[in-house]
Amino acid sequence: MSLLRFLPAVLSALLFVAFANQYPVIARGDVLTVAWDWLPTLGVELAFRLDGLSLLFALLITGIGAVILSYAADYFKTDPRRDRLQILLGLFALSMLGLVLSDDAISLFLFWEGTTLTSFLLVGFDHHRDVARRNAVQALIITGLGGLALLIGLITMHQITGSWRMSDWNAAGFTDHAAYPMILLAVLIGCFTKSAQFPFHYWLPNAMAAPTPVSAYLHSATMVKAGIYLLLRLNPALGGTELWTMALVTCGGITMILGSLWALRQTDLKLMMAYTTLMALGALTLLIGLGSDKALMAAIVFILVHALYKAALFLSVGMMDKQVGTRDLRHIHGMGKSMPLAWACAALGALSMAGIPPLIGFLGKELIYTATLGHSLWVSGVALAANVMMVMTAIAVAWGPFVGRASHAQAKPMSVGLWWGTLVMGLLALILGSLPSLIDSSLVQPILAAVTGREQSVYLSLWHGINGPLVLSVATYALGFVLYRFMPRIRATLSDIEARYGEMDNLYQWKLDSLHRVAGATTRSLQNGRMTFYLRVTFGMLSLILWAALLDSPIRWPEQGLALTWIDLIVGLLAVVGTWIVVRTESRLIAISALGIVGAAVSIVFVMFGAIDVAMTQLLVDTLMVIFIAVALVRLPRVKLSRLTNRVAGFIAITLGAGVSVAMLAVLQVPMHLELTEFFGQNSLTEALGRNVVNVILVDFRAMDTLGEIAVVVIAALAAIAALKSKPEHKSV
Amino acid sequence: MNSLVLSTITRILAPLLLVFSVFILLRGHNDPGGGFIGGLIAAIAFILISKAEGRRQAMVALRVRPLSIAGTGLLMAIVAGFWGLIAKGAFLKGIWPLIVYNADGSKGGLPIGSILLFDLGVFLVVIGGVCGIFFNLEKAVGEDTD
Amino acid sequence: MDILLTLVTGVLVAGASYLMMAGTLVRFLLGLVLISNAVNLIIFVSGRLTYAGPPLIDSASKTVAEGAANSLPQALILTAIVIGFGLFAFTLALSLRAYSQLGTDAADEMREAEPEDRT
Repeated sequence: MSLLRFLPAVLSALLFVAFANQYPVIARGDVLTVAWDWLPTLGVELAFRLDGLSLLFALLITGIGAVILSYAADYFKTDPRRDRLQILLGLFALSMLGLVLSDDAISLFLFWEGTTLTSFLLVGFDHHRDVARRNAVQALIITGLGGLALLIGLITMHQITGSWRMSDWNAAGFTDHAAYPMILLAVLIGCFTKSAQFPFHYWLPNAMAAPTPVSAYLHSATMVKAGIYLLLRLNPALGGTELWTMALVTCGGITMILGSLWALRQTDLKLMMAYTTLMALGALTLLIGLGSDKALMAAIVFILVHALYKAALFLSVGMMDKQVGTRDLRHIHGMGKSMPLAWACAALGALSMAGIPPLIGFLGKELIYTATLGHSLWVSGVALAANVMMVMTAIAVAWGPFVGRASHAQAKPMSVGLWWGTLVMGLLALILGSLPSLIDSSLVQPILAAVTGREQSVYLSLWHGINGPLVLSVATYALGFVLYRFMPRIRATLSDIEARYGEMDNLYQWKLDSLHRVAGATTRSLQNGRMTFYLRVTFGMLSLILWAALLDSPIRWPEQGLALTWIDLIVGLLAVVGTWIVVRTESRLIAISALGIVGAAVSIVFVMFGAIDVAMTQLLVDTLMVIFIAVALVRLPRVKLSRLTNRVAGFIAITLGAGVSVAMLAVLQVPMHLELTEFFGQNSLTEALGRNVVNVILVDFRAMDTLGEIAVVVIAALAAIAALKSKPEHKSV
Repeated sequence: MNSLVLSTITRILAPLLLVFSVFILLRGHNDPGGGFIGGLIAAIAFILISKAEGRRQAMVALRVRPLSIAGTGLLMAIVAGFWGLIAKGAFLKGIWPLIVYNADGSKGGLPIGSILLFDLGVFLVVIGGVCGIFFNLEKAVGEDTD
Repeated sequence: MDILLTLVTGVLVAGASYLMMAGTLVRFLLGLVLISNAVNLIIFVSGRLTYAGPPLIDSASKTVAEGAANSLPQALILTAIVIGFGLFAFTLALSLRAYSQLGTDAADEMREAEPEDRT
């Protein structure tokens, strides 16, 4: 087995080291920037900026990326699609990295869309499955629409400040601007769709159609945090208003409760993890909405906490799926003995999720309680309820499948790529939780500075003495353990509710189906396959446009035209009568003859007004047309006039004809510019050695047009001959 | 279509038309005429032959497949274009290698060059295109009518 | 005369478009020929009409005589006529093909590509 499969993981790890190398610089409170001109005329740059917030995300992306890429290398060890998966994951990681490092909003947006696209491809990785395709499209539609909303917000902010730099925006601030509600709405739609906040949350559980490594990476640790990242990033520019707090706390709170509640209902361990991700994202949104320093600090720490435990748990579920063959928690018991490593990973993750000291999850939960208690009782209640359910979910994941009588025989041995990274993440949660001073002033402090725009010192520790948060924590554990005993009954109740009221996913499906119906009906009525209809629409529109343009300016009857002679009248009459006969006759021969008359009349007009070349060409072509039709006539059917009279067509034809006449009259009123004609007349002989100006224009001055034209003649001949030569096919009806 | 009158007239008229078409082509630069008109006249001559003496006879008179004629014409026009590009640096620029400039500023010599080549290309394209479509049209309409 | 010609052109356009909308192949072809004529007339008349001679340079002078017919629209129309003929020939070939293949000359019954019962 080639070790080359670990190359992407190694590259990611190298990037991790490179970013970790900047850690001391950022810890000092410095900010690194680099910028290149991109579209200087539009003021768009490729501007990157590394501050505390970017660094945290960059470390998560590259670090967890290395773990996931190595995990994927062994998860898909023998799968021929492994290369595709790793390339897509790599592209995603780069987009995500670009997103968190961009200072320029246009770059940020492009990378943002990049993560949307790669996510679409990764969710639909098993593209032979209907459900994977459907869910991939759903994720694309929802996050893509959110992206458009975000773009509106970004452009508006650019319009106001004249800069694309987000650092400039943060310095300026928009909270007092008249357009603030509009900007906020646009940005929030972008962030909420990306980070799966209520009411856009339903795509995230569906995205679990992706392979487990993808879900672990995109849909828990990184991509869905892009919205959270942007909320934090723009917090100085947009945050701190009542509107901001209301929107974020409401949506975040609902998402939190919804996510943790539905997590309890799931029997598929992976789906359960997906819903707990919703809870975490909701909690982060809520904390950012609260906006106090304590709340923001809690959010920052919780991002780290969640990334570590959720990736670990996802990967443990993946191991179980891989080694046992099922993810249904009702069917897996007692695998702890045969899969000790998976158990260790799952246990570390679950302990952190439940917030048990000394894991970092405890720290996160204490900070959350501190922040919510500082705000109001009911927000604390929401947090408490969600955390109780987290404890229950944690027990369900890390206890149920591993203890008791073994449900499956000996599990297959695990390759090293699957477990090392998972274990490292679990251990990291333990180490950072035990020694929070490793990150408080060096990482959390610069991030808080970036998010609030103010410098302040941060001190983290496990033990704060007996206080409000600790009491809530103890209550959380107690309630969680007690309620876990009623888990099957709770699950049954929730299933009932789900069956009775349906989900928001159904609403999405209904909207999508309606769109398809409307589009289908529109297409059927417009593209109905009837040529007469198409032609009527075309000529009708032409007439409409013509008349609209004409009626826009005053129409005057020309003051004086050229004198009218008897010859003129006869020629005009010939053309009109010929046309009338062609339209009215049932006989094909008479029609052709009348057509010849019209052609002849037009030729006479050309002769009368000094266009000898044109008249000759017209006569010859007219002759040829008549010959061609005559030859083809024996194979063409008779014309039946009776079924051809049509009032609508007649009306359209008359309006169009009248429009053309009036338009020509209007043209005759406009002064003529003859510069080109004079140029040709003066230079024809001296420059091009020809006395027939028309011919000189054709073969010399405008020879390029003629070249194109003869090319068209050749193509028309080729196409006509191909149509004539092909043998009739006998269709099978 | 075996009309004695038609075939007799054709025997006289077709060669005349063909010669006339070349005349029209050549004089086109100074008088009414040119590649398009000349080509159409020549095409009508061949169609006349085809109607009077059958398509096979017309194909013999033409000697080369119509589409080859049209292709050659297009190629000649493009060559004329590159001639100008190479000699004077502009695609389709007129080149007159046989024109002599006299001392008094007037011009002499033969007006033959890239422009004539171009017009000849147009002439051939029109003949080939029209004849090609016509012969195939006749064939598709059915051998039974011939 | 030019005013008369604008009216004649209008009649040609009306007749041509009516024929093309009639829905059978033969009438469509007739309409196509008519509308080509009409468009040529539009270009010609828009370039202004003069009873003066054609844009030829007589052997005595070096430039076109004052007031000769406008050369530019003539060149345009010449091209348009030949292209129109190519289009006509192709449409004719296609119509023959469609008729022999589908057995109908009613354009609305030619629904191979967009059948009625499509959902």
